[in-house]
Amino acid sequence: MTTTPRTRRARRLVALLATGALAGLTACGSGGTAPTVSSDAGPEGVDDGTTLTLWTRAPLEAQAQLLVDAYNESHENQVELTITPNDDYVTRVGAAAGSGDLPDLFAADIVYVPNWTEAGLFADITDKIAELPEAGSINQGHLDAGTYEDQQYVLPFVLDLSVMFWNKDLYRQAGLDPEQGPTTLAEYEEQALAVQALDQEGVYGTAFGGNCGGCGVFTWFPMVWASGEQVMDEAGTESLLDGDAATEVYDTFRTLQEAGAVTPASRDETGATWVADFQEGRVGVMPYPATLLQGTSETVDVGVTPIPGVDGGASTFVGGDGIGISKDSEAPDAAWNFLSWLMSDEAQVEVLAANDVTPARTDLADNEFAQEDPRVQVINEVAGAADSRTPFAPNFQQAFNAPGSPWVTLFRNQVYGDAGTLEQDNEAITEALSQ
Amino acid sequence: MSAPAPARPAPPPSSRRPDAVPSRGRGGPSPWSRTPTYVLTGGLVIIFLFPLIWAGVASVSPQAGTAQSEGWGLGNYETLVGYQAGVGRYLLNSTVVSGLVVVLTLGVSLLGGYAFARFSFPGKDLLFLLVLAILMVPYATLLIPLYVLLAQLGLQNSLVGLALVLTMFQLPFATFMMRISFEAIPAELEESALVDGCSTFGALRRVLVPAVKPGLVTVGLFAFLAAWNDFITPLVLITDSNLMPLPLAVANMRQQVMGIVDYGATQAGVTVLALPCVLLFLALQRHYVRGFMSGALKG
Repeated sequence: MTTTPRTRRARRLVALLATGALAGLTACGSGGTAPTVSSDAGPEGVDDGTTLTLWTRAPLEAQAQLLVDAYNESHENQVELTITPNDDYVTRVGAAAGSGDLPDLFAADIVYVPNWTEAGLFADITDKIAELPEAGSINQGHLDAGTYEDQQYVLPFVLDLSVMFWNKDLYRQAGLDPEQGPTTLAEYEEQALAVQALDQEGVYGTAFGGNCGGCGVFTWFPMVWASGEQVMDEAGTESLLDGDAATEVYDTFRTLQEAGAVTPASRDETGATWVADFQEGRVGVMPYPATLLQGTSETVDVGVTPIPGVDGGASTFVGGDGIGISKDSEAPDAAWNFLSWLMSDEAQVEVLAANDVTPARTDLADNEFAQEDPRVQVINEVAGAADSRTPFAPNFQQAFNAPGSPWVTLFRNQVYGDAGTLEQDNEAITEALSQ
Repeated sequence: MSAPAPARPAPPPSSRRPDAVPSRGRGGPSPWSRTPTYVLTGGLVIIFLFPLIWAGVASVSPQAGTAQSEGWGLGNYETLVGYQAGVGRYLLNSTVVSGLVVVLTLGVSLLGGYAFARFSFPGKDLLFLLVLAILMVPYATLLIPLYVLLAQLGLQNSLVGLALVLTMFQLPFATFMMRISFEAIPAELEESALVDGCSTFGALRRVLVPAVKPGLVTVGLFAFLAAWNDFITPLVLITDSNLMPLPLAVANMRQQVMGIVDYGATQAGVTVLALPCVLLFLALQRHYVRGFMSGALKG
């Protein structure tokens, strides 16, 4: 990789400083006059040729660019898009928030949103959302994550879902039905073992990000939800990852690991290449980011099914980015115009769905583009499934996503180490959450 | 109080160099005795060049999950060209910033180094210490205050502001290097120029600048490489996508959802980034090495 220890240290320093700036901001409360979207501007806001700025993180560049281009073409207002590397996005926003330089609109990884709404970085758009004709069908997970003290601040920008992918060619060779993916955790285990039994050089049953907290959150949490259990309490301060369903999930992966059905690289996988083996056709079945369907289909004949729980069920991690108007925006009415357009059929179907991105509205799951590919339909439908969630907690990052987080320790112990430490590892997550 | 002038005249820069390393080229010992040298240097060359060559090869080779999923070709470069404002724009930004940094660094360090080496003025040592003190602070910690400061000057989010900040971080080394370079030149050289009627600036321009050329090349190349490759400073200071230098654009481009990295696009970006540095280094390496020697010989 291109980062040297030196730049990494430098980055960490900047991050630290920016967090300090952010903390200082929080301490002051939202004392500044946050902009309000005026109610007389109508449900669509103002389209008067204002230049708006929009920030987002690099992984969602493609989708953001599509949206911005389509908006600029059809509106007087013009949006300027700024992309920031994923690892540095929090730093950038923190620095800008401290000096009052936030752009008009900015998107945020949905798991960070609660932290930022609490810090007062977004403008309140509760009333405007209520005016939208589509209000009832907007993805609930994202809306909930953007709600703080009963006020709504954030709309879904781009959804990023997790689903189960399998390699149809390997399934055929293993004598499995290539059109039928796993519907329970036990079937997942069986099918992975069946592919492993092919005993081909470099081909494995499954793979996962064994040292990547975010990957674990993204792919294993839905297994717990689909089983009807929760990973945290409502407030996001207590970990429930020692429950029965969670234990089943760990057991499944431990069994697969002991049977040698997990790629050896999984053990130290920090996230940069956790899907590479599947993309090269060397993995049978694994939970996977749905956004990569098109790219992966170029090299592998992919089957798609929702992530199952212990006894069936279907769930997904509703990730991706939420978007809101910043506290520093000087043109909140014009910014709202972009947001209201974003929720329209035009943006959701003609821009997002046309490019195989899941629409953020449940009533659009079955659109003209999804009908062409049943796999896309599967993905769209699971986004609105009852057991699909966007988990949120103020300290989500430290507890789960950070390198060496207590969650990483927990699942590494469960799969590779001493499985007897579950309770105390779970306790450590609770501790991190409630700090 | 200039530094004690060397009693013996410094050797002319080029004439003695070939003798410094005993030449074994023509008519030397048998080829066999040279073999260990070739094996050693060849091995070193492979070790140093391998990553670069590998990046170049990987950027055009097929790899699942990149723009070049089947067969060899330039798919990853197409990604690079089509990304946001396009690679041309980012290369231009990088060139403008690096060029400005080189010019500013050379200008300031030339005059600064000359002053520190040849003139005595009150507070000289303190001032030199102050310049070096920039090195004492980890530069990342200065970026947030600088960001606020630049915003007040109206220079935030501009290539000129970025170049000014990068220049500042180059100054300690550059001034130090130029001071040494000037001190390595015998004072008599300058004195005779003054006797012949040159002003101090005239002496600098006509006599001293040619003499410190190796030092200038070293400083310039260092400034260029640092500015060209810097990531963290533009990351904090530049917010407009159209003003990003290339390293920042490449860092953005390689990231996909869920922390997955597009290695094909990364390799293509690294190759494009490395090429100008390699070419410049090859073109200037003779002066570059001499620049370091001039400092070393001074002792």
